[in-house]
Amino acid sequence: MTDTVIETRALTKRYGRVLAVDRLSLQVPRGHVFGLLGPNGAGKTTVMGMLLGLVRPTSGSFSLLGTSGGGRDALRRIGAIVETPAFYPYLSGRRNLAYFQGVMGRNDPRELDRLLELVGLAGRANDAFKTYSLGMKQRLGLAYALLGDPELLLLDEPTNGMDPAGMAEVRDLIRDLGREGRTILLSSHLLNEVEQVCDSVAIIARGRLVVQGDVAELLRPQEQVRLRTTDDAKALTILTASDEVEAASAEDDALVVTIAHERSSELTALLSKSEVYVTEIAPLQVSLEQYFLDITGENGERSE
Amino acid sequence: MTAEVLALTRWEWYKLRRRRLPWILLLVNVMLMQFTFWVSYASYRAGDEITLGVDPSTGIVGAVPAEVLALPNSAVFGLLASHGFVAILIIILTAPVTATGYGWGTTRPVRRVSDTRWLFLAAKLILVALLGAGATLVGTLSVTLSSQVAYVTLEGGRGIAASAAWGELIRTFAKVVYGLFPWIALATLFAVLTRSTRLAVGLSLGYAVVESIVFESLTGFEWFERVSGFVMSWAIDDWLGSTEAQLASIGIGDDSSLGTAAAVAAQAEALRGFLVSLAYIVILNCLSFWIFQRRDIAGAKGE
Repeated sequence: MTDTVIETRALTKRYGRVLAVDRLSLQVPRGHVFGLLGPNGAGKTTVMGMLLGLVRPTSGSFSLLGTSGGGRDALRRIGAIVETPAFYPYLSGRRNLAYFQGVMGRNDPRELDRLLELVGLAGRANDAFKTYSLGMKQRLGLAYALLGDPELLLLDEPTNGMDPAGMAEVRDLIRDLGREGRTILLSSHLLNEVEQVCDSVAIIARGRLVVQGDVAELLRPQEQVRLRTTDDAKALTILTASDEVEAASAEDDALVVTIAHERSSELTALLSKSEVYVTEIAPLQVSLEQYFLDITGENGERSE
Repeated sequence: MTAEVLALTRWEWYKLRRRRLPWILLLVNVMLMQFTFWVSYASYRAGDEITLGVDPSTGIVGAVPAEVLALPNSAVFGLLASHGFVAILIIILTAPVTATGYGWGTTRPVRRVSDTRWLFLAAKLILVALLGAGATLVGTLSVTLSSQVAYVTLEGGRGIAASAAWGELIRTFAKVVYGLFPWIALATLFAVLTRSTRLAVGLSLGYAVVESIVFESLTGFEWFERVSGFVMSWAIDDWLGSTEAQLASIGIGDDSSLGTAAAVAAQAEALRGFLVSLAYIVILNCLSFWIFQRRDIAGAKGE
């Protein structure tokens, strides 16, 4: 059993003159909830489409569940939602699921009941799909993706169109599915969603991989503390001159100091020598959003 | 593989039977065949003979006697007279069966669970072919029923006598159903090509109109006479038989006017029509499968 469930090697997709995905190399470990993060138009859906065989890659290769190019057997072990869930508008939610279950060669009404209950659609299961709200359509899409108890889930913007409560429910569900040992590739442009749900993340911009790694690992190098002192101006001068401090700046009514985590305790001693006393000190957790903006905004061209 | 295609066909039917379209088309088909029959009946009541059609070169082709109202002639006549309408109906059914998957984006999830795309398209083609045969059968049965009613209302079938064998009805049924296949292939190709129901129906019907109107105007040219047998709808007509041959085949009209040589020529035309139709079916379907297999599957077009 391989430890890498999805591996892409220089995967490229070109639509005429537009390069949608540019030599993307990803590794998604087994059992991880893996976020594919990027702004709209970054190429996330195209990557998903290529993995599912919906979109033919221009060049490069990939393997899914140990099968090169994602063969027939591999695809049967995958559940997916790509873009807005698409179903037959005149069929009910239950009949839509029954159809797709039947196409998979199975007929298990109890599975339909269980999945409809799981996604909170049991009460509307017999209503026509065309009467569903976007959030309900997303829920049905999630139920569809879970048909056949797949070991790999590809979820493209699964909370799109949902209200905050619905988003929270779906995120909980995704976390639970991840805890069950499933590998999940979750594409999203919602940074907090990826931060809350994912173990690992790959950030892509303009079709190129910007960075890939564990969410916690990516945030760790950005260790900063927020500091208030008895004399902020004097403290800033001292800190800026210090070799231990990587950077220091005044922001609002406090100082933000970048310093290696293990040395942050030395700040108070350093300042007290000059009779500047720390009145407040707290680690400043850099959000994924800030990190994302740092590397895709001003430094958006930085890649690999 | 065969079992999988048949299973997919069953599931195609599962969702198609819940749409209104196939039932509306079936109703229209029955009404058209009934219309054909009862016009013949009304004409018979008005006089003793029914004018079947007009050949532009020779004038009136055939005046159909009362036998057309009796079984199995009535059913054979109904099948032959309505096959042009049925072709239009099958186009209207075929295009959405494939194109709505693109419009609603449902081809994507199906693809996920059935990665060998051609199976999916094959199931759709088989379903439409079966529905075409089914609709033709229902239409034929409705004419059979009407024929019985007509027989009773004509005071015990005044002057009506069956002359064609029931085997001829089965043969004609099979020929008419086969004559639908090139249209199914054409509409499927346009559906896969355009990914739009409206465009696929429009292009398929447009093609049929071009063949029947534009090509008809070219019949005066000698060069066209040489290639006309290879035009799709004309090849289907050849397969079904010319009007004279149709009449003769069901024992109506003047058999002797055909003569042995003409009968042999009609058989040769029918064979050529069969082969040309087969070529259209194979080529158009190969193109459809090739495009369906290769092209990226996009999301819903919202159509």
